[in-house]
Amino acid sequence: MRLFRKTLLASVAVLAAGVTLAQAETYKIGVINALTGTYAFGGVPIQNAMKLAIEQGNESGKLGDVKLEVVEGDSASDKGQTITLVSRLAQDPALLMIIGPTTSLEGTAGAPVANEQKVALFGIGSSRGIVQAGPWSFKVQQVGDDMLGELSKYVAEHTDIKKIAVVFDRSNDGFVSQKNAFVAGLQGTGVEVVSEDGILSSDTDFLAIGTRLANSGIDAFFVAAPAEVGANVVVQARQAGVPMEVPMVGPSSFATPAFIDTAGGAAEGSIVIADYFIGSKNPGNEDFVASYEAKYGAKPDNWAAMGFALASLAVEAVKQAGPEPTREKVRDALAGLRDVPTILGNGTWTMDSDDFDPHYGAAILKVQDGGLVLANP
Amino acid sequence: MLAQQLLNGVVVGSVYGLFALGFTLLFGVNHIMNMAHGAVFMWGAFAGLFAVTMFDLPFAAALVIGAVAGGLLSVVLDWVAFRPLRKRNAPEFSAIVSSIGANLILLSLAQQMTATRVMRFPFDTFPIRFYEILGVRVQLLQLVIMAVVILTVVGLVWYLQRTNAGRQIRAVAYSEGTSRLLGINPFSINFQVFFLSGALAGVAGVLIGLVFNSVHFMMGEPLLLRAFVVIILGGLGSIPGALIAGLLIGIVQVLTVSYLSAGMADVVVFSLLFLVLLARPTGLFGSASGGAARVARQ
Repeated sequence: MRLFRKTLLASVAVLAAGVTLAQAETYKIGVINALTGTYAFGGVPIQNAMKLAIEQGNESGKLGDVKLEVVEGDSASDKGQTITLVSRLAQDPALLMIIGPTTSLEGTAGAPVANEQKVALFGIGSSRGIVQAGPWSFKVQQVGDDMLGELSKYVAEHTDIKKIAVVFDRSNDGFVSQKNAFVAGLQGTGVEVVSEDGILSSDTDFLAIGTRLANSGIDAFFVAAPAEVGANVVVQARQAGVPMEVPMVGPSSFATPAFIDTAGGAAEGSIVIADYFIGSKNPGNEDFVASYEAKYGAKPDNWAAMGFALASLAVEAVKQAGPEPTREKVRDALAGLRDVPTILGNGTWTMDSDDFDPHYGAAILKVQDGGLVLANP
Repeated sequence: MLAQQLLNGVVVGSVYGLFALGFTLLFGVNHIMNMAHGAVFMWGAFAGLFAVTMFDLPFAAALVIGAVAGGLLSVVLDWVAFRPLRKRNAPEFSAIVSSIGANLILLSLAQQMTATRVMRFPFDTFPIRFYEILGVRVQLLQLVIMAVVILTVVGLVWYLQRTNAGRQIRAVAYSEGTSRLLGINPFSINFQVFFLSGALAGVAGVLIGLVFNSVHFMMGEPLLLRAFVVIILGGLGSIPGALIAGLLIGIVQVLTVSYLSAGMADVVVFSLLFLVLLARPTGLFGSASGGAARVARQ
């Protein structure tokens, strides 16, 4: 009997120790974004929302005994810095995966390193280059063709625009692909693209382009560039004489307070496509808006929503990887994610099985009275 | 549209000229290629911006503060980066390397201070007014920029040509050794030249920051590259050359954007530089005697 009692006590002690060990099972997740530099306007809200999603994932208990510890990094909007960060994070054996960086520019630089180091990288940028780098890299944002195709369709079918000029940031792969997709989407619709001008994100003088736009008889002008650069294009185009009745049409980088604040009144009437709309009825959106506002004291924008959606998908992948996740299990779980509820687009995030292109629809918004309203008919 | 674009080119070109004037002045007198001139320009713009945003000062005060800040920073640069080299008779190349180091330090400080953000003057810093003159849409700000540039250049030329201090500067530019024998204090001359050079950069920084709606820690770098083209095209050390070449580059750049594409601007500008150098290696207004003067100075 005493032997039985001792064995029982020992078993309980071992079990308790096991439970304690299991409770302490913490895995690291790298969260890297452009917290400074040209793309910080998006990187900062993305980073904040990613941390919020991971915090909620930990608290919800959906990961069981697994806890995720965030390791933060600043890509500084720079390719070299991204490569360094991915390499450094990958050296830590406790690191399960990396989420971020913010743009295609950084993502296409970091993805080959992640593939070499065999750690899953789940980035934001719209460029296919991130996924094409190898089996360990994925992205949350759908390609420009999807998003910008919707925008071209809206311009052709629901506006009076017949002549449009195009200005794009030629130093960023993502913006170039957005421009190409938008122009391709207009082919055969009766909307004429009268000019295409490549600018650099370091440029500040857009008066000459603005003057040309003012004298080209256009009904609208499309801009694909970072928010603050695009805002500068819009302001200088207005100063050069482009009337307010000629709206700016743009991708999701302009569905942000950074664009509206910088461009001021010049942004009124702009038509922008967004991955996300704050008033969306998608599952979880109301909770997300409330918790983000409570934590950061500001309403979430398109980028915050993108970061939250991505990190929520990452948490889902870790959950599906089981109670003892490894880098391989997380990668496989990420690759298998399909039809997951999301706050983005139409409420369902999915991926193609052949090329891992994500899809989730889009919202067309309009700048009105210094804010964004739904423009979808 | 041609007249409108020519106006844009003249405005941009005159600011290029103003920026390049300080650069070429320093080269003409001290024979220093100051690679930190873009950073002085940037800090001048930030000084003007902070004068407006933190102290609510008007545009005119921002211009003066930008000029003084640029001038003082340039003098400090001389004391830290160039004067010790002059004392040791270091070769000109050492001064270039020293200025590159100073430039990187100044850029890093600005990057840290602003967290790399693009900043801008408040919308009401300068009244947004337009006039239609002979079918050309002219902004009040553009008129003010041209007036400021003209006044600054006239003032600089008057100072250099008509004042005793200016004559001393020109004497030192020709030969520092001879100037010393004539009782000219090179310390005072260097102070004046570096201050003037930095002040010109500071004024250009405030004007560019305002007209292009952007003040950023890297804003001086593209302009520094343009300034190289301007002073080489205009002739090293030539003040009229810098002004005319600045205007030429501004107009060529704007017309290229207007009639070809924005992406071709650099191709055309640098091709122009290449062609001019092939035909006139000393630039449009440079002379072979510039080299002789440099030898005499030593």
